Amino acid sequence: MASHSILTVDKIRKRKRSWRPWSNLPEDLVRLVVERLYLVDRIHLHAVCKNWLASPIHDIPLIDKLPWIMYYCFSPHHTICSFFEPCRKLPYILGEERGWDDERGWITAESLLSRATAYASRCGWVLFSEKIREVFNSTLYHAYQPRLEHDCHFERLATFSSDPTSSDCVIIAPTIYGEEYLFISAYSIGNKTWKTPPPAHAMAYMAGSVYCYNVGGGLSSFHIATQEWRLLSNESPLIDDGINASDFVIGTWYFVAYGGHLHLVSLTELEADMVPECKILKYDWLDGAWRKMKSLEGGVIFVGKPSFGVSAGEQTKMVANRVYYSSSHTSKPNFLVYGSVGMGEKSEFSRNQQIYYEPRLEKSQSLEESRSWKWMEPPLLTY
Amino acid sequence: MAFTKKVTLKSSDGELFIIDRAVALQSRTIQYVLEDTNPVDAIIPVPAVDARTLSKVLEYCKKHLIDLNTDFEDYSKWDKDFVDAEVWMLYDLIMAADYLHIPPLIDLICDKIASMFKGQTPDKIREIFNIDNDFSKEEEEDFKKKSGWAFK
Repeated sequence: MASHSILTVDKIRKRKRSWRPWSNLPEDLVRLVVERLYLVDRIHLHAVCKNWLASPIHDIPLIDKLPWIMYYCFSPHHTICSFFEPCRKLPYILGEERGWDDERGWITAESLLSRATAYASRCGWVLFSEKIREVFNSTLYHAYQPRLEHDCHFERLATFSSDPTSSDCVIIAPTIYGEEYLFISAYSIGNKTWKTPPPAHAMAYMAGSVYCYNVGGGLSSFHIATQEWRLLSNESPLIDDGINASDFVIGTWYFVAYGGHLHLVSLTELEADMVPECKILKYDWLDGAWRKMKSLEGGVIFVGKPSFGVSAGEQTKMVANRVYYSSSHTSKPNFLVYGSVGMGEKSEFSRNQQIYYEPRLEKSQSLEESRSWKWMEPPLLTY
Repeated sequence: MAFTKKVTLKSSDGELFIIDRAVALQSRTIQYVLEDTNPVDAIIPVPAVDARTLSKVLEYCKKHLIDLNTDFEDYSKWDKDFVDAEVWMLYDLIMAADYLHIPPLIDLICDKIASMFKGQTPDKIREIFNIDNDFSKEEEEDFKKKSGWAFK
């Protein structure tokens, strides 16, 4: 008994000697640590103690650059929604989900989204066909249903500029008149006016502007702050720079904006277990023409709906020069390495963690068929 | 070199450290003191840092004096071992590096502390850093309500 109590006193002494007032760490040092943390680690840091919760860290830019994967199924029989962060093996699972419907009020996610398709993602929000819902805040779900004056519907594509709860968010969606004409309309929350620009087949948002690409070759931009449309190019990329149409249009193509540039990515039709052929064009702002990219220069592209691209940086080292795509034969993302990889661009394993882009799926045939996954932009730190 | 001068630092617990001026100049705080007062053979007090921590900080400063025989690779291995210390030591080191204003050392320790956060739950972080949980049950519930997905 005696030796036991001595041990305990020793332990307490040791604990006292090794105790340091970490919760009172000066604010500027806390900020230096936070600058190095991914979103979820920042949320956890907030939940450690009151002092850390009070530290002003919301303005520190997120270092999460790679898209997350949203894996979901909203059916009346089965609802699941989970998120895969690239650096974590296990998913985050969303709890109770609700959505706002203009006519029915708060309703369950499955009745709101069972027939909806995700088209765009920004700041942790996902735009589901006609509605937007916030996926990361279960008590504050919003769904916006822009009311259109014309008899029209959203088709194939839609995008938005920022957090939909902010007043400067603009939603851009195409409108179909009859079967042949396709128009894009811009809708902002405070100001319910629609602007009609030239027809387009693909849209991408980047740094204050929405870029619209037309298969016929037209490229235009919509500047959100000035609400102005501008025609950038009338030229078809398919016959430019030695790339002929048959080289480029086989298979699926995607329009991706990142790092200040516009890209067209084409993938040949996917066959079982085959790596598709990939070609990437980049729009040359000076020449006003599309050029074939020889390499991704350390960046990475994620194609799908929505598509993302990330320029070379700290977090892209593990996935540099890859093009991630979805294959209909497996329900997880595959990737190919694009172009020539220079000596200096090889992946470094030093301090970087492994990147996991392989959602572990339950092996249930009937359920799997109804599930989908999408790339999504990670959310912002909200509290 | 004829110009090589020695500087004497005095830790909070009274220990004296006689070091090369070039080593001491990596601390901007000491650099300012030397520039402002130019104390010849005087003792510079470092009241915020104890001897144990100061000797460790000076070990870092000596290693990081520009040495043409040491390439970048060597530094990163040495740095990694340097911060492979107990958490209380990391605390003392970062407070000292902050007081002495040695930016590369601050960065090195912040990298280490951040790596200790990665993938850990708040409970585990409290355990690692020996921090008391000062939230009430209600406040903890509130976290789960707001961002429950991040706590599963």
